[in-house]
Amino acid sequence: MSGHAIQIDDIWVKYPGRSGHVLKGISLSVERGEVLGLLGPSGSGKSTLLKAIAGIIPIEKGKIFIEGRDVTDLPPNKRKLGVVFQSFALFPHMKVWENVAYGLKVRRASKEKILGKVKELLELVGLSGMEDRYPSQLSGGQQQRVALARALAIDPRVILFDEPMSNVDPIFRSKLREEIRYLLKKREIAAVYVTHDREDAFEVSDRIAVLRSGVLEQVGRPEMLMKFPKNIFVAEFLGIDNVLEFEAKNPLSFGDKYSLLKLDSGEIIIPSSSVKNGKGVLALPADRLRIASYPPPNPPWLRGKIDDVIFRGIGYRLTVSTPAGRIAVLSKNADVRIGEDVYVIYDKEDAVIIGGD
Amino acid sequence: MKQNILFVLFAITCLWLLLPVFLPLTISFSSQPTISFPPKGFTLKWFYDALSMRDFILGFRLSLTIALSASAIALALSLPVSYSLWKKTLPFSEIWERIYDLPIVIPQMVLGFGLFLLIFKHFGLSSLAGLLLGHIFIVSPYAMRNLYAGLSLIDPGIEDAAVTLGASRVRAFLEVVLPNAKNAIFSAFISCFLISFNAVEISLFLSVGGVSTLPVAMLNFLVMRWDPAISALSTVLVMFTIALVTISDYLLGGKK
Repeated sequence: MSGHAIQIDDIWVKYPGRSGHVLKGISLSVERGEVLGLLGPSGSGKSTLLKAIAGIIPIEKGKIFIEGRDVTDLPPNKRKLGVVFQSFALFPHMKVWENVAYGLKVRRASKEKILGKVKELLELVGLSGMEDRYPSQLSGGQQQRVALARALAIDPRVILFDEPMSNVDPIFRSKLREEIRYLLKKREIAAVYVTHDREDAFEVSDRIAVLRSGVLEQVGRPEMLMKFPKNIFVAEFLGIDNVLEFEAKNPLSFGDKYSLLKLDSGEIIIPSSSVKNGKGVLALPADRLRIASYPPPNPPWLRGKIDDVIFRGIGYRLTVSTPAGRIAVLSKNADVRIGEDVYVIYDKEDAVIIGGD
Repeated sequence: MKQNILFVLFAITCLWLLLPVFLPLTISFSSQPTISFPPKGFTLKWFYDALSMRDFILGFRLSLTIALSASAIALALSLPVSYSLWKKTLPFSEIWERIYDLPIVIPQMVLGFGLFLLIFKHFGLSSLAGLLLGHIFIVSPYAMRNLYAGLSLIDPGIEDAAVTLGASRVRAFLEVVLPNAKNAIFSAFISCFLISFNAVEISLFLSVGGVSTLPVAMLNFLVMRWDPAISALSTVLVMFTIALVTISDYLLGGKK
């Protein structure tokens, strides 16, 4: 138990004056030094979970452990967690160095220690020389760095990030994420990183937890989630392309691992484990699909018509309308015409299993 | 063409707003012994008269005392309420806001009469206590509104941030929220002060036993006499108010 940086057991949260729970029995653990991305649409309860861990909002039921210590009944100022807020929540009346120094001042650190630490942290986040500025004089990215330095100042073993990129200029996000991850790894700090942006989650996380309506849908390494999404929600939220549903009323021949599904418009091979209750679900990663002018001798294939061709900087995105739905295909070249009849083909191993165990 | 029409309308509006303020000012320098327009001659006699009149001096002192203490007490009482509204920790917050608006919505005559009955007839308090209570009552909505508006500009996250960094709730409030609410508190105080200092109706009911606030003293004076001393006093009051507003604007603006 003491091996976990954070462990939460069956957390329930309800806001006063509102019916229904925001969090419905969440259990989760974060290992030491691990970055857990908490991904979910707005209203899924991800920020609420973060605030519950921080102790800012009370929980109705459940237990929270940080570094093996039961903090369920501790106020937020005794939990020794770093928190980086969505709005940054910098103190507007304090200079940059005073913001960073605040946690140390509260802990009655000596003046030399405070000054040394502030200098070190501002260097670390690349803000040396900005000590005497006020937060309002900084860009979004710079404010985010101050917030990070402020959270790091109290030497937390765990940092909670609440949508830290939403107020940062998009072109700086990738670099900042990279730096955040580097810092966390170097200092072996565990983190929970709340975001609704899957790119954000992929770039910082060791594992990702997907939350929907207060319930944890799936937790796992990003590769695993992409390959084996638990359901259509997770698949679509992770941005897996071409989630297609089939009625399995057609003649269906089952193999051990794969099933052949004969359709009017083609023959599809899908993983057997994704056929349930007479329905087949299939996701086809757009970068694994190919376009052909003639049907291949062996399945799988799908007949369709080119709907649109878009140049997207690197390669093209072709949209093919098939009887099974619109399918996106990423292709290096675009030697097709809009309206042309084509066949979409793929290797059966590339089909993503949705809902398989 | 359109510009010109707008300018004329603007000028008329300004005139309309300023004339009632400006008229008494001119009369206060008139050497005529009664209030008449246009003024004739020039004298500062009326200023001397007004500022040496015992009723006015006592009235000013009382108004100042009442306005300062009522504003301070109303602020102290409204701060927790506006804080809770800001933090959204108060259930039924709309109802609270409506209740706080009551002193503005209800006619001051009704309010004055009600407070008169309650304070004097029921509790038998002194006029000073009555005035103070009544004024706290009428300025509270302004205290709450101003504080709440000021707090709304502050990110509630800063208090949480301070707490996660190890500060207690009280410490976080004192060190992080309060310094950022300074301007709101100051402007709330100025609004309350002016409302209280200028309140007539409520003070009419609550000024008993020979105690009267400055506006009531002025009203009494007008009933008995009709000379430009009242204009001179009005001039002084207008200057006082303008000075107060200017200073507060300067202080609030200078902070940026």
